[in-house]
Amino acid sequence: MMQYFKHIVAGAIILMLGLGLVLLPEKQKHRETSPRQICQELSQQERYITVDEVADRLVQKDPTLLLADLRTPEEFERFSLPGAINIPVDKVLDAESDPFLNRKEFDVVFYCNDGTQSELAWQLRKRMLKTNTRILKGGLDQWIYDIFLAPMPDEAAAEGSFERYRFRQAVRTYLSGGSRPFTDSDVAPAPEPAPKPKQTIPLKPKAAQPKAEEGC
Amino acid sequence: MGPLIPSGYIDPGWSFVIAFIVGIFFGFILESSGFSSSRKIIGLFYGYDFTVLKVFFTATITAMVGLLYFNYLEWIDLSLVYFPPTFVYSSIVGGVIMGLGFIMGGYCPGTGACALGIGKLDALFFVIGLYLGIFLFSEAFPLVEKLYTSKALGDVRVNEALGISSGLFAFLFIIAALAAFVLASWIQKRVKPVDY
Repeated sequence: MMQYFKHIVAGAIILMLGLGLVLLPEKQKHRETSPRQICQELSQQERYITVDEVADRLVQKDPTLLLADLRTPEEFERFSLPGAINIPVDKVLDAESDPFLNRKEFDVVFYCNDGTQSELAWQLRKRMLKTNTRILKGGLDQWIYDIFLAPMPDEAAAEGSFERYRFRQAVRTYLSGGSRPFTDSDVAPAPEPAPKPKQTIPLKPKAAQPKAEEGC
Repeated sequence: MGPLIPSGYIDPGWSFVIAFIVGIFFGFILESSGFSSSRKIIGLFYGYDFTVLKVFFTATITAMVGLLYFNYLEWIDLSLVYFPPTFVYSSIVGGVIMGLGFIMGGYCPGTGACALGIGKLDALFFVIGLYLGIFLFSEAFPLVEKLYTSKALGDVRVNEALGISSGLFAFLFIIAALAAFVLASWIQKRVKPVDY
């Protein structure tokens, strides 16, 4: 019996490993995030990245940041964020986008004008189990408002507001390539910089939230 | 992350270089296990040596269990791993021809090349026959094409064809392998030992 001991041990180990395989849930069939989970995540804020955070990473020249502009090539030509690549929203699933989007080393940040297309693209990516994607909160509208228009905070505003204001001014100077004062032509290419981006932009993500929860 | 080449970690241009290096190690291990001896291999058919069965079954179940766990841990995506499509009738006919050649020649293609590598004359004739067979098959392909492509099942896995999970199939296969080991040892004890 002793001479077979090692064979019995080896056989028992492989048999136990095999039994483990039977008990493991089948993974192959669930290659997509379930709609319920997407719905849950839609009610949370983790998928957003703020304009300030993106600006900071741009200034730091963070190589892991990949800005993906979801607008049309024409819009992209007119104005885009520094270093961004153009992936129109209908090309997000195309094979030619894979080399950019399917790389774990990148934090992909989707942006469009107001965030609507980014939401759509994020959901597609989420469904494909890609977790390295975020949305620029408020889209380019918010970017223009925060960085280029950068309104001076009230005197009564919290202390952090002034710091943020100075940071945004610095970013604006950095992105305009020096101390050149900001002019109307910097904003002009962006679609309808409009007198009231203030009112439209913050409303949209908020409006999307309860909608998502109802969906569940 | 794997498989490395389809996932883009290694350029496809390297595949032949990698195949060459892996092939050398494969041949070395085959030779070390005694698989360059046609008598050892043929012992499986006559029942006096079951090394071939044990080695290949062990290799299969080890790789199978490893790959399934790797797939579960997402170290490899098994859906990206290439395997040839199944053609039922040509597999049966090809299997019979290969089995007959195996018994007659005492080698399978890999072990034949391995034995030729250490200078065995019978392996030289075996390999010549092998290439002759490939040549004849290629030339006669239009004649057998209908049989070759009939009953094509595509990229089908055994567990899918049986409608069971890959884990359950692996478990049943392990039981079959262990049963084969026990049976082989039982037969080997009752067959007259052959000195070779």
